[in-house]
Amino acid sequence: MRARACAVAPVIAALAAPAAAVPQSAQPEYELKARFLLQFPEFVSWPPASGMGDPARPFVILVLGESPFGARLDQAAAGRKVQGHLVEVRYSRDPAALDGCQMVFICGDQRNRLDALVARAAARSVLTVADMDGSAARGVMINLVIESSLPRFEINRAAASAASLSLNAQLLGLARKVY
Amino acid sequence: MLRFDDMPLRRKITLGMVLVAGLALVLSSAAYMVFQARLLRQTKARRALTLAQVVGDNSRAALAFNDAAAAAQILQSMSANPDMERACLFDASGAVFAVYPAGASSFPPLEPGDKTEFRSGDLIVFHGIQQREERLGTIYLQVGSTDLRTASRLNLLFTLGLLGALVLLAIALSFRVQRVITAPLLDLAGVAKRVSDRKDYSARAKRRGRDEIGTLVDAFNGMLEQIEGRDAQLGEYRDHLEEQVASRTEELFTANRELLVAKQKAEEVSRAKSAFLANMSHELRTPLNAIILYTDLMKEQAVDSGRTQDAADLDRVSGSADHLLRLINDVLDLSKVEAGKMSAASEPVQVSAVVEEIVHALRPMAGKRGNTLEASYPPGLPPFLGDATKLRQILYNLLSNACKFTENGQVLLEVLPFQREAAPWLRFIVKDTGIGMSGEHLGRIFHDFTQAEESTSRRYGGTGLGLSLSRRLGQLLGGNIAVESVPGEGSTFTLELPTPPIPAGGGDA
Repeated sequence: MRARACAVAPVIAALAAPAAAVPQSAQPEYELKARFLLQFPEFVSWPPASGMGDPARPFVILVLGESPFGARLDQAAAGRKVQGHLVEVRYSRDPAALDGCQMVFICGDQRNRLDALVARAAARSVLTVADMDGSAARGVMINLVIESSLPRFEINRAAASAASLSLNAQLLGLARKVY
Repeated sequence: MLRFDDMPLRRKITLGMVLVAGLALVLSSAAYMVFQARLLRQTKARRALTLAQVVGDNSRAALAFNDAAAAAQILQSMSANPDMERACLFDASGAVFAVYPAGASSFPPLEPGDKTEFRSGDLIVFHGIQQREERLGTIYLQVGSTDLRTASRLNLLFTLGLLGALVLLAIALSFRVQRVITAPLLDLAGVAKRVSDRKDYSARAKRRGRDEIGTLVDAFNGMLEQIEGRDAQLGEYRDHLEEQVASRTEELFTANRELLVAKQKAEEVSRAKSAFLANMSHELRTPLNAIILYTDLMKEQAVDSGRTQDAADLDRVSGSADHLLRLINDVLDLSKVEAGKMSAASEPVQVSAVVEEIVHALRPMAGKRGNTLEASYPPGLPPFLGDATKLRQILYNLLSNACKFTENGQVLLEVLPFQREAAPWLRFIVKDTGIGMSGEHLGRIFHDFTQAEESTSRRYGGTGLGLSLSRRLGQLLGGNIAVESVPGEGSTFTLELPTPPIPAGGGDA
């Protein structure tokens, strides 16, 4: 219960400053973030049931909502492999698209249904990533933040554990904040 | 510095052991140190590589998420390693991403590939940091090697200490070993010295074992035994020798005395015989002279009265009587010489006169057998002091012999003066071309009553006393007669006589 109470405050803060969260596809910041996105899975372990056992299956990254990446993520992911699986990037606004993917980037426009998305992703052992202030406190496993104009991240370890995902200690070590 | 060859055995053994032990130790230590140094470097390199791998792996996230501060934090863990001089992380683009210690600079440029090697004393490691197929960056380590140097120094010190200890041990051990080896040798040397100093061959060395030295001791003792035995034998011989010499001397003395007696007896007998012969010859000659005288008278009467048959018979009687007279004369002379009653006269002798006279007398006899008789002598030979009668007798004998044994040949008498021991001598050479003699006969012809062959006297006549008498006469005159002959080719008789000159003013010419 305490975690739930804690998670409420950032959400309010994020709502208070919607402009700061508005992605701008032209920003080089998203080039870095796209690369971060492709690095995170290397420091995460999925449960056996998640389908990561079969190398023939692709590693699916879902960009849920309005993508701030433009073509950058597609470019970065082209021909790339994550834990031996070819990366496949999908774009969708439908939470149902969470089925069959291993990682989701929840875009800023999905703030309102964030809790539902987080819950749904956790149930499917999907790694959740966002770049909304306070989203880590609300159950997003990795939240990208900007620190002295460089992207950094916060981690919600409890959320990852609840989704049966385990995060590498190195990753935790780099987190600016661990919930 | 003592030469090794001159050192006492003790020191040789010690030195040898120390050398061998030291050499073995130095070699093995050197090998060990090289091996150890290699091992240490390898271990160090492996450890550094492991560190690079661990730190690099730990820096994966920091590199992946471009967090230089975190990377620097991770590198800071290197401070646990005191040898770590510098370290840095290169990112994927090859730029320096994080450094250790903080603020370090002037890193070498990134080198492609993984490397672990020593460069000018430092260990350099380049190790790539992989995230599956993606290369996130490279970690660079520079590790000092003071620990290696310290280890090497310690190793060296330890080895030197060990070497010293071993040398001491070798010396201590060699003292024990050399006692085992040298004690019997020194014993032996002592005995040998005693033997040579005191000539005491009864000394014996003690044998301690059956090794080579034991064999030496046995051989030495055996040698001493032999010498002792030989000494004893020599002593025995020496004692016996005196006795033997004394007894031999006694025997010789006796024999000498006996011989002397026998000689005196023999001389007496010989003298008696000679005296008897001389008397007998004289007694025989007197009636023979009467026979010859009356035979000649009767022959003259027979010739005068024309009884030729009687004259021829009487001629034969006269010849036989002459022969008998010559025989008796020879025997008489010979016995005189043997009895020592003949002495050489000392009167002036004219050699040429003697030679001419004899040649003249013998020429008819030579002619009878178809021989030529010639004499040659250098003109102006001075007269000398000698016995003309005996010289004449010798030459007559030799020449008549030569004529007798030569037929249709030559007989030559040659007189040559020569010097012997600064005194004037004459050599009379009588050479014929007659029947000659073999070597066997040459040795016998000067003996009494001997001719070259038994048959000779029957064929050539002669008494067989001529040469014997000539030789004795020659010896009486102080000279000698020699003969050379080749059978069938002739003989050469050589008479050599001393011819002392007549003292000035002495004698008559």
